[in-house]
Amino acid sequence: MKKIIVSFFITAVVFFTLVFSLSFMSHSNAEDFQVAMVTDFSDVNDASFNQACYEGGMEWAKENNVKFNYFKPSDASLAERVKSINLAIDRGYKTILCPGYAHGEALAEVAPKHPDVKFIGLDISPGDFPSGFTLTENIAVFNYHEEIAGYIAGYGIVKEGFRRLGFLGGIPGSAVIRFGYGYVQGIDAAAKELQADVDVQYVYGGQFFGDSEIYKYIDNWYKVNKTEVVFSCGGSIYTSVALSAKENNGYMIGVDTDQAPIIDRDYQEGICLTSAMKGIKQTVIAKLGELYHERRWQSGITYLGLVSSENPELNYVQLPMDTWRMKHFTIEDYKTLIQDFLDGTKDVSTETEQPPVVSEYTHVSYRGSIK
Amino acid sequence: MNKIKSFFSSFFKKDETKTVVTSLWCALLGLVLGFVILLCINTKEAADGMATILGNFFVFQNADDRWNYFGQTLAKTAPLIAMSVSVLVCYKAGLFNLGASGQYSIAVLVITFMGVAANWPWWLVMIGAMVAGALWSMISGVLKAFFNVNEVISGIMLNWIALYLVNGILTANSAIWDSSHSEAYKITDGSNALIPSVGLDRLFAGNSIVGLGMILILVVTIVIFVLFKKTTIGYELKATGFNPDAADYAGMNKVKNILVATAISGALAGLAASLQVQNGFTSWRLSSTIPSIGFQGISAAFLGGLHPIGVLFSSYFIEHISEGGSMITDLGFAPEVAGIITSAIIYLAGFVAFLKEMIRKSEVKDELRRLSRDKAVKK
Amino acid sequence: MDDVYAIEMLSITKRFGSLLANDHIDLRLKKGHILAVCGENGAGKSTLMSILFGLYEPDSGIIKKDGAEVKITNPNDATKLHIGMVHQHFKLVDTFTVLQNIILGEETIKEYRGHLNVFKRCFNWLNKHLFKIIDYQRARAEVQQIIDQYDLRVDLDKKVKDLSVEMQQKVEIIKMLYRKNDILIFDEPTAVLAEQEIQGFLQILRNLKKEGKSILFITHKLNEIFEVCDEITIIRKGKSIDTLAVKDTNKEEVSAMMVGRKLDMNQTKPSPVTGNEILRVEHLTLVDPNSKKRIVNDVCFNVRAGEIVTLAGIDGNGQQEVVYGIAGMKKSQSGSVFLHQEDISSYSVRKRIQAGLSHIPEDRQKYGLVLDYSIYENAVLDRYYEKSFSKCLFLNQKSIREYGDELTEKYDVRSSGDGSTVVRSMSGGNQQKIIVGREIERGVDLLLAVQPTRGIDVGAIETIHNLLLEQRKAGKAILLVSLELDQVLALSDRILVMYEGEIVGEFTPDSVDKETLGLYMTGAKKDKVNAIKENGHE
Repeated sequence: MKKIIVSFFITAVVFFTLVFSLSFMSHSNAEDFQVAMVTDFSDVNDASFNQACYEGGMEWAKENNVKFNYFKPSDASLAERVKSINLAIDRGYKTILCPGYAHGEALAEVAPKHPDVKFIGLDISPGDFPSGFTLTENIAVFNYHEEIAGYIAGYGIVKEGFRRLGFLGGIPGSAVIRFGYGYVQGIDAAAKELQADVDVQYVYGGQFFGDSEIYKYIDNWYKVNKTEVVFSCGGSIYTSVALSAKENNGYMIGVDTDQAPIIDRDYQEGICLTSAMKGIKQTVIAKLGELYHERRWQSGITYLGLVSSENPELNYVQLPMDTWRMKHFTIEDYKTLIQDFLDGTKDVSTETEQPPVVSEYTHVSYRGSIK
Repeated sequence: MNKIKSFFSSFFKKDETKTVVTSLWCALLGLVLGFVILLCINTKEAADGMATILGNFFVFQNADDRWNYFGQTLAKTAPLIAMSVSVLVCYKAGLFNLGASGQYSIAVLVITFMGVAANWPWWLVMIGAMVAGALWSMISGVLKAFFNVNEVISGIMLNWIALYLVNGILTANSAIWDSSHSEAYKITDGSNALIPSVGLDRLFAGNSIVGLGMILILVVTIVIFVLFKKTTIGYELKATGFNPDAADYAGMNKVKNILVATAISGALAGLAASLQVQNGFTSWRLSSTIPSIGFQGISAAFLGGLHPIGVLFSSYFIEHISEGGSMITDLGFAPEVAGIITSAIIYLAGFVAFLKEMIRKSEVKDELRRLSRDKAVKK
Repeated sequence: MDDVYAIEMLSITKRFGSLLANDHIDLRLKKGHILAVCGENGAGKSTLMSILFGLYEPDSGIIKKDGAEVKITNPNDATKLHIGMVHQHFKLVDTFTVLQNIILGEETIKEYRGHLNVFKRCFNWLNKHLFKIIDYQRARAEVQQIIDQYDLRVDLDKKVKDLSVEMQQKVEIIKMLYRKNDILIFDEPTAVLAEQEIQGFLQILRNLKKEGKSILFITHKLNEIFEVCDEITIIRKGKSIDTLAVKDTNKEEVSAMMVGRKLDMNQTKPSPVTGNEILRVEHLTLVDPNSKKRIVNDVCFNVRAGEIVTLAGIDGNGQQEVVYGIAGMKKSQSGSVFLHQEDISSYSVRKRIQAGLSHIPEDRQKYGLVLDYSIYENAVLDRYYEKSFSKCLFLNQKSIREYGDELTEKYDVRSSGDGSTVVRSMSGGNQQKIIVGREIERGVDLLLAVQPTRGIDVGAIETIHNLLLEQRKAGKAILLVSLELDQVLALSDRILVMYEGEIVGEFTPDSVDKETLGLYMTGAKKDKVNAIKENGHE
């Protein structure tokens, strides 16, 4: 017994000395410009906006030879999110990317205490900040006209010739709702132009990941309701949609980033017709660039949308042109549609309280939430 | 001098000493294993990563942050302690509470209704949570006592039933369900249901989740300790756990003991929920997986040598390294790595019994060697 | 033929700690004969058989098969020598079919028997060493042949768990035959069988003998021995007493040899002063929930103050169950138990204890003690809740300690430390003293003592005997269950012999000898007995 106790202490002392002395030696000095990112709920490989944000940061950081790292809170709670942001600040990061609505409350708690640190928020609507909180100078939030992205996707898919459509949102936050209502408006616009009857099923999954329950629900749409295309609008909830689309020879629309490659790889080539993209990656690259090279800082909440019809890839909301798969709705049609928006001949409502009013051609069944 | 010597020799022979030493060894082995894993993944940053895991709040340069997150680790330890004591109570009575997560879930449901919707005083909500946990746990108890259904199986099934029940009921009530964030509303500052911080938050740089709960769980743990050490209930439960046949022979009521053990255990799981939710730290989030705290409780209970006081330390240790583990992503380790490390450490806790057996064997060997040596000398 | 021995075990000695289980035992089994090995419980039969089957290694002595010395260090060696054994508890896989169970471990591997020579070699080699595809067809044919040869009807496709005990035994026998064993050991095979089934089993033994198998048959039951066996080897207290040819002996002689002629203990005890009836058991019947067999069948007796009534019999004839029925640990099917004229049949264990019943259980480690508890804690195992040891839910540690110390002192319980020593670390005798002391100190009028001296050393046995006699003198009623006839004769005032769950004989120790008891215990003789004795009727 004595031997065991003594050997324990020796091992412990050796181990701790080793670890701490090594770690002490490896400590480097903080550089003046480093960028950190704190994830929201999922990880940086969620095939959605965390990943887009991470890739943007990574790409820019490599190009400019700047240190970039990410933090993931140990659980979904506010306290842990705040801890992760504080840790990033403590480690000397001066610019912090905060994607996702969950950061609203966390920023309200941290940002006022650290005026020297810049926070770039993505996709945080005004309602996500605690009521009565006024954004401090060091917070810049970039939101997107998701309704336009949704509109374009919906419009295109009807023009392509599909008549039985579905929408599966994630957690019904304002971004998801804008996507959805924009989608419905786009569908309605195209239906009116074609004078064709369109059926739309509309539901929220209540979460940003797929599971068997959601899969069964969507599978039912494809099988019983003869739905042809489902817009999967909520992070990795696409897994449930892609699976049932594959099994029922249906199609789907991705969200946030171009989800076609990953779905081609994991499920089946060609299932994902298009994706209603937000230019998160571009935003990160652009805004970090502005801050680093031009010392330009635009605090407050900014909504990013369409910029150009000539080169749609400059837009902050867009469809992917590399993997364009629609035949009747061509890239030319797409550009025309953008031009219409820029001209003001087409418009879309940003309303999120009430569902959009639609014509008699469009029949929307709002199904509430699966969970 | 002799007195000291005899004190030490009896100290080394004591069973408690053995338990403590084996638990410490397990923790250390886990850490070494974790370090080896880190070395395999990223040699350059491994030491730094390990230091971060071990350091947790210490790595903050800012003193305020350090206190703040020390407090947070402590506050998050409280529910884990409650959970592991819950597991321990059942274990002592010869039952295995794998259903602690389910009891926790049901308690969260009750807290959400009583605390968020009805805004009842915190102690009443806490009692409600404990009663709910106890009742849910007693389903397993009744099944075991009257129909001899294995409590492990019924516990696991009740975990899932509880999960979907809570998901279903909460999402259906818009008064308490924040559908745009897909979680129940939290208990906020100023709510009656918030466990008071009694000034402890000031001690920890204003961390608002620190509060009376931490003291409460210490008291409860001591109560459980006393229950097993000093009361007839504890005496009966332990006898049943050690030797159910003898308990039967001595006329102890098996049914009663099973129900008592499951009720206490469930109440503690309910308390864990209360300590987790009623400080405004978190609320029920829509989930398709069982809350992991019930399983962490099992690890903590075993690492703590199945002793109420040991559990205090093991729970803190587990929480400490889990927290530290979440802080190494910026060193080039994926968050999954942190998970692997912490689970490696936690699961080595399961080796406590194994190690103890090894120590016993080596002792027997020593004894034999000594005996044969003595014989040789005599000859 | 008569002089060829299939198996000879010569001067086998085996020691377990201080216990000499086999003391220079000789055993010779003639080829093609059935040899009965009989003796009391704990006489060393099972140890001897385990040595033959390779489960234990003897400390000294040699084993010869067909005249040549062999070494058997594990069951595989025994199997190679074609020695097979049917254990008391069958070694079958419940969820496998009969056929699968029979060929288990000796699977017939598929063989290609075609003409493609190269393929044949490759396939057969691979299959033998790698794939091990089983040739069920061939296996079935082989098994079927055995079944026909020995007339052992069993449905090969049924799962073992769906078979009756009798059928399972047949499966075990076929298993042995399938392995081409020629020496078959049966360890108390009839203990699990009903009367008619026993006849069937004996017929199987005869068939086996006819086919030239040599059989070792372990049993207590003399009737069976005299029906099928050729020789008997009698073992008592680890020694082989004698080997007799069945045709030259009779039951009386054998049972006398089994139990020993000489009385080892000469304790004089005063004649009983019987008082009021303390315990009365009427028509008690207990049914085993698994086999549905009546383990206690319509038992009636009473115990009066100041007398020791003994339930004698060979282990497993229902004596323990009678006590469980009285103590409430097993539910009785019918019948009633009266304590002080009060019907306690519907009481819980606790209530019966409170009504004035103390109980020294058969298995001290299983029932009598919580081994991980200290002496103190065990000293109050069935009375911790009493006022003197607890105060509103809290144990009164001080009074428990005082009481524990008193008990240790009075009953000379020795341990390595004080009363906080964990009982697990103590010797069996000292453990037993705790229980005996605890139960006697309760001071109630009825003491149930089941094998109170099992597995403890001579000194402790004497202490416990004296304690029981003291209690008798103090006017307590004592119900003793004992397997040792010496003890039975030395202590009892009345002896009730149990056989197959029934009381088959009632005696007083001075009016009976061991031979007679042996006849009753082995079922060779039976009376119809109602053992309720009223005072003054003697």
